[in-house]
Amino acid sequence: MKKKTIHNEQLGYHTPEGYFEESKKEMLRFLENQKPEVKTNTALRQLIVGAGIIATVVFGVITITNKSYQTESFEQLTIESLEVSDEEFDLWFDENFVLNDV
Amino acid sequence: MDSEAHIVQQLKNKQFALAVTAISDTYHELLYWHIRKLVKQHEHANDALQNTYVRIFKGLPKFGFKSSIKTWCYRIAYNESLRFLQQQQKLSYNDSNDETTDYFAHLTADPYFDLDSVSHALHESLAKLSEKQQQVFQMKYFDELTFEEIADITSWNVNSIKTAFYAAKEKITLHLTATV
Repeated sequence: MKKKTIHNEQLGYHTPEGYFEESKKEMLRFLENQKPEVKTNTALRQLIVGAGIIATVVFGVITITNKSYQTESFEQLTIESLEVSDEEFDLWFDENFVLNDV
Repeated sequence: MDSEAHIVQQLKNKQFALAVTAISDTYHELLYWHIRKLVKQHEHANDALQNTYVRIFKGLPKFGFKSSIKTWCYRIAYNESLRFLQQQQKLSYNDSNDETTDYFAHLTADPYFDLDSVSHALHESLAKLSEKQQQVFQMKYFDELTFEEIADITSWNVNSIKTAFYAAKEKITLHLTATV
C-alpha cells in the first residue's frame, strides 16, 4: 500500500481498480499451463559435454588419418603407375629404335 | 520463518508451483512498480510483468541460491523491461532529438498517468538525467534497494552506482530548488 501511495503521489502512476489482486490471480493462472525447465544434473551435464568433446576429437583424428592414408595410397598408386621396369624399357627401346635402325 | 526463507525451503523441496505463488504474494506489487518505472506505461508494465513471471517460473529449477530470491526476481524483471524497451525502440521511429519531450510523450500516452496530480518538476528533473542515473535513482529512492542489490540486479559496479546516484540526487535537488 505504501509503495502504491508513493508511486501515485510522487510519480503520478496509477493502476486500474483492483489491478494487483486481479493480475496476480491472472498471472498465476497463466503459469498453470507452463512447466518449469527441468535442471539437468551438473555432473551429468559435464559428463555429456566431455563425452561429446572426446567423440568429436576421435572422429576428427580418424577422419584426418583416413584422409592422409587415402592421399598417400593415391600418390603411391600414381607413382607406381608411372614406373616402368628396366626390362620393359629395354624391350620397348629395342623394338622402336634399335630394331628399326637395322 | 520469513518469506524469503520460506521460498528457499520450497525450492529446496522442488515445490516450484508453491514457490512461485509465494514469490507472487511477496513481490508482485514490488516487481510491478520496478517495471513500471522502467517502461513507464501501465499496459507495457503489465506485459513485461507477465513475461517476468514466465521467466521466474521456468528459471526456478535453475536457481543457484547464490543471491537472494528478491534480487533474482528483480534482475529478471529488470532484464525483461530492458528487452521490452529494446523491442519498442525497434518498432517505433522517433525523429525527436529532445529527450525531455520523449520522456513526457511516453508518460502522457498512458491513460493511467496523471501529470496534474504530481510534481511536474520531479519528472522534469528525472528526464534530464542519463538513463543510468534515472534507473539507479529510482531503484534507490523508490524501490529502496541497497547499492549492493542494485549492483546484483544491473551487473554494474557498486562504486559507479554510488557515483550515479549522488550525481542524480544533486541534479534533482538543484532542479527542484530552482523551480519550486
